[in-house]
Amino acid sequence: MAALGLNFNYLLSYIVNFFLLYFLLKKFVFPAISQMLDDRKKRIAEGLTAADAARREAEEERKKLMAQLEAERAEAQQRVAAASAQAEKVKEDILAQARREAEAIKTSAIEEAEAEKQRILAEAHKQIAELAMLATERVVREGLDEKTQHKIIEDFLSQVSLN
Amino acid sequence: MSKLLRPKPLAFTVGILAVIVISLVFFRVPLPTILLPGEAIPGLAIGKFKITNTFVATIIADIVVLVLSFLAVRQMQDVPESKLQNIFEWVYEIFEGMLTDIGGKEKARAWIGVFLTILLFLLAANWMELIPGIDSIGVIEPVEVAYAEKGVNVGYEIQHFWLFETLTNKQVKLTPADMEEIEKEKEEAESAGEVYHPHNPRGYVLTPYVRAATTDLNLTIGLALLVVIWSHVIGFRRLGGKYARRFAMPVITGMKLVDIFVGVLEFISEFAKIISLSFRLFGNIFAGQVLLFVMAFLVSFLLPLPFFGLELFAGFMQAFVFAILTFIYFEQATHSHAGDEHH
Amino acid sequence: MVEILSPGLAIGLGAIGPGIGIGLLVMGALQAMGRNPEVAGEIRTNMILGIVFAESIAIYALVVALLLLFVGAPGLK
Repeated sequence: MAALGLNFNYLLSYIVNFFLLYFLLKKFVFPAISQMLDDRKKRIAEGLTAADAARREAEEERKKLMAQLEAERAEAQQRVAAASAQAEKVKEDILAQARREAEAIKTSAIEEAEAEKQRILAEAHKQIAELAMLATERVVREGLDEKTQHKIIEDFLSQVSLN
Repeated sequence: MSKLLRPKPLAFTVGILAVIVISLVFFRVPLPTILLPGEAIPGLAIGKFKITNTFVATIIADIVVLVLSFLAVRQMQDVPESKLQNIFEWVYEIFEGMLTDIGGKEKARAWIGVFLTILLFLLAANWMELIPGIDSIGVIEPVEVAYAEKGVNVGYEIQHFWLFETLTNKQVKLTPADMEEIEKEKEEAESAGEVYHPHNPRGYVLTPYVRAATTDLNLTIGLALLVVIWSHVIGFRRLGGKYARRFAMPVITGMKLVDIFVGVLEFISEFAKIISLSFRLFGNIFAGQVLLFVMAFLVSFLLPLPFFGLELFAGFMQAFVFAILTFIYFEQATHSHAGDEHH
Repeated sequence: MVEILSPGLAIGLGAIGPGIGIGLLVMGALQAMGRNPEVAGEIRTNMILGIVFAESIAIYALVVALLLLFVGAPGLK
């Protein structure tokens, strides 16, 4: 055994040496690393959960905002529709009014024209009658022969037509 | 062949050949004395305890591991800025995962300390053989003294180089007549109560200050013994009386021949564990070191380079295997037989 | 002569079996990894363990060789 270099003292010293090393590392190094890793794992997990929650919250917020926006948009649309309906109605009213007024103006114009016509006709009748009276008077005054009669009538008629 | 004749590859090949020829002609190195036991460094002892170069290497490996690991955990940061902390955390996580795959979370947590201590210590110890020049710095003593103490029979001539003495590659072999003479002189010196020292040394040998720790059988056998005994202690603690059953099957089941055989086999396998654990580590690293010696002896430049890579891998592999086998032995020791309880 | 030859034969012959064994083992492991790469890590760990066990046979040969080389066979000197 000595030729292989086996020596109990050395063997024991190596075992003690290893135990010392193991003790030191076990006491000071490995717990630190292990704890660090565990802590980090925990913190990462916490961070992820927090991020998840934040994301979910943001999503909810976004949905709420979207709903609100949608509602507002609908309302605005409604309002616009109402406004345009009203405007249509006003337009109709104005148009109807205008038509009515135009009709009235037209009617009154026709009536006026008719009245004028009647007035002129009446005037004409009156003048014709007066002329006829005048002519009659003259006939009666001059005595009437056939020729004169014709001449008078023709005069009168030419006068009338001239008038 | 035509590819080799292009200027670049040609210059490369010629350069390599030139380096090899130069190293063969001008830079021959002596083959170091290959000894199985750790060599006691002359003139270095604590009382009767002679300090060997493998022991020095063990202390250095301890210091390296301790300093690195303490530096790594000195200022732990949640977002690590130091690379060392990163590396240690990475190593810890990887191997914890691996152990969890083998033995479950609880056992992995319990024994990762042992696993990592063995791994780191053996890594430092194994890789120490790769430090260039580590085997060439040491104490030079006459080959006669080395023969009388360790049976070394090949020495080298010496030359002075500035302040230092170095070995040349001129071998001096002790003849049987020389050996007899040395033994006689040594006996005379001892009977006169003196320390044997030759008057006119024929040659010299070099004892390096540091030799890779795992090339000492004491370390590997000590570690293997420790690990196997530890596994029994753990098994006994966890399983109690049930644990003894696997070695004492006949006592419980009534002396059947098969059971006796199984019990004996279990017993032998425990010794096989110690032998294979310790000699695997020792054999690989020792052989690796001899391989590096021989390659440097054949051609001192370039040729050893690929073998350094090989040894880097082998050193890691052996450390890893030792550590993982330790864990597996622990795991097996606490693993009760399938019939005893359901998992 | 025997002193020189016997350690060489011990390790040389003892390395044949583990050599073939490790070759077969790695072949099987690599084929398995090629077939389902998703469990490559697990296979690799087991492969290394298998190699280690095959290698321990060579280690026994190495022990014998070292004993022969440095301690000497009983009766031979």
